[in-house]
Amino acid sequence: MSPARQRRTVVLAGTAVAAGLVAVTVVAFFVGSSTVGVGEFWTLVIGGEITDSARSILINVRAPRVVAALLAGAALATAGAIIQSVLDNPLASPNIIGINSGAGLAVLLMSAAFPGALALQPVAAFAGALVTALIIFALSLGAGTSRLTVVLAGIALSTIFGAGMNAVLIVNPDVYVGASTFLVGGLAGMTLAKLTWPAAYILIGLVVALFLAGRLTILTLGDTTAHSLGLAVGRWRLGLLGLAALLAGAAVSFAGLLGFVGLIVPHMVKFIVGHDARVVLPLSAALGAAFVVGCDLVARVAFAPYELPVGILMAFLGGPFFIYLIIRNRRVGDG
Amino acid sequence: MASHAIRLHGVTYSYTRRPLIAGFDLDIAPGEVTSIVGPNGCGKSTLLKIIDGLVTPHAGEVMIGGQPARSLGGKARARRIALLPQGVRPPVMSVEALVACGRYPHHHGLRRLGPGDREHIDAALTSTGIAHLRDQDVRHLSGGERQRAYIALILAQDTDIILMDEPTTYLDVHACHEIMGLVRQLNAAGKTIIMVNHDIDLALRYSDRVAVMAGGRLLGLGDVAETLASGVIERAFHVSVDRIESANGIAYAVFPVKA
Repeated sequence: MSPARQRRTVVLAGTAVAAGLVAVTVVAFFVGSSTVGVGEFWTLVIGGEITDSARSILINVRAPRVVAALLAGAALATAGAIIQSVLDNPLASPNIIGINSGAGLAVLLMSAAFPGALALQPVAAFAGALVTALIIFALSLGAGTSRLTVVLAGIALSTIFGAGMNAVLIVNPDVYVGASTFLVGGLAGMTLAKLTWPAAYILIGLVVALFLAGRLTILTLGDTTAHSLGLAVGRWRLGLLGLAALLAGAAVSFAGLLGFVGLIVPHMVKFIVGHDARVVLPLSAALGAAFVVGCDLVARVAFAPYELPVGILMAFLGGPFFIYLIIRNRRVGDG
Repeated sequence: MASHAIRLHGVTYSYTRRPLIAGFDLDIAPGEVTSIVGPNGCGKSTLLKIIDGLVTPHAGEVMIGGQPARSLGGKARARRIALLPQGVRPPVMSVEALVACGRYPHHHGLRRLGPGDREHIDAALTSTGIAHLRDQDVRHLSGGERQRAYIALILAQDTDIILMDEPTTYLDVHACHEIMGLVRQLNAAGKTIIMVNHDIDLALRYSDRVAVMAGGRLLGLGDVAETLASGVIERAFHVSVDRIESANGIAYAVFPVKA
């Protein structure tokens, strides 16, 4: 693709994703089990007066939920893009390699030990995610470790952490409000208070990720070439994995074990605009945000009056996509 | 200016308890093409990794242009010495994007590619003869084209010293000679080149000097005539080397010596 055509593609894709993100976010505000009209939504946006019930729905129900979906989607998709590059593994994502489960177990343990300490939950989630990321990183360094081996190790870790989470919930069922939703990933009952700290971590993490995107591109050239170009490869692999753990952990702390957005979205972005991390990271963040807001919207209204946790819908989409990736990986013979 | 481009003094390195390279001394003069040859497992590629700082020697010192290599930061080292690695998996990017990565050591922080960078990239693509492939995906190139793309990457890096780890591996015979011709062109443009070469004929044809290694030690270092006269290749590989002159030039035929 010529540089001019590449630039056109990036501008087009960026515009389309930005427009889609705005559109799906606006629709998510006024569509749901309780009806709020477009007019009321717009009146609120421009600072006008609307009924108390409509205001309450928009500010106390819709806003936290939409903001949570935006944050979780951006964080998990960016974390997925970073992890795939750092581990040089297209099958990797925060949920596949066990980072989400590690964060989830840490959140439940923290909730059991210090109930009500909302500020500590993202910290615990980050710690759990980081420990898992380090285990996977150490495994991936082993000579002859294939991509599928890393994935299998992640599945094994997820199983162990999943057993840990279930054990915590059986011993202390009240440890986490909406625990069943947490285990599959969902955004019901979200409050702005719950989002304050994770939002700070995610916004900082996204900005840092954009600053480090150039280094991520150099890492994709392989360890020897990256070193020869002057990059401290080991240090930056670890640092970037830590950043991915921060983003994924912060998202898990309020959205639960939301899977597959970190797998699907970076692949969609790379398919359209190529692998330059300076383009992939911001577009993954935007598309990830739009993707989770859109999926949550569908999960809320498709089976009304019942509401599915968004994680279930995403697992239905992500599972087949993961199988497709495994088959493609085996076919190209570089597993 | 230092009298040597690279100097190794007493360098020792081992992957296991048995040293792979022991008490290794080597001086590489600037402006020459030096080939390092030796039997498999003698430590040739490890030697290049030590020079490029990929592995740290357990003892001894590496000097680059008169300066201790360990005193150079990553980017400072990458502005003086570039490495063409062996058999890397091609990334998913265009040739031009790959070559642009060569400008990384010359950047600070968030600076974008400037006109100077563009000139270096264009010059690297032109001198390696792949300007017409700049928009191609690196994965879709032939072996020879891909090697040229990686050589363009290290040219964009704009270093005085270039290390090449078996630059002709997996290439057909025509592409091998093309790459070696390119090595001579780069040398004529002022680059000091040190390459590990598994092909004795290519090493003798295209190098100014040849370093022969065996068992982690340097058996000899000299120009082509000296190396042939000393019989050091014969001793290291258990082969005999015949120099053949024809209307097309000089070639070296290698024959196994019966025990």
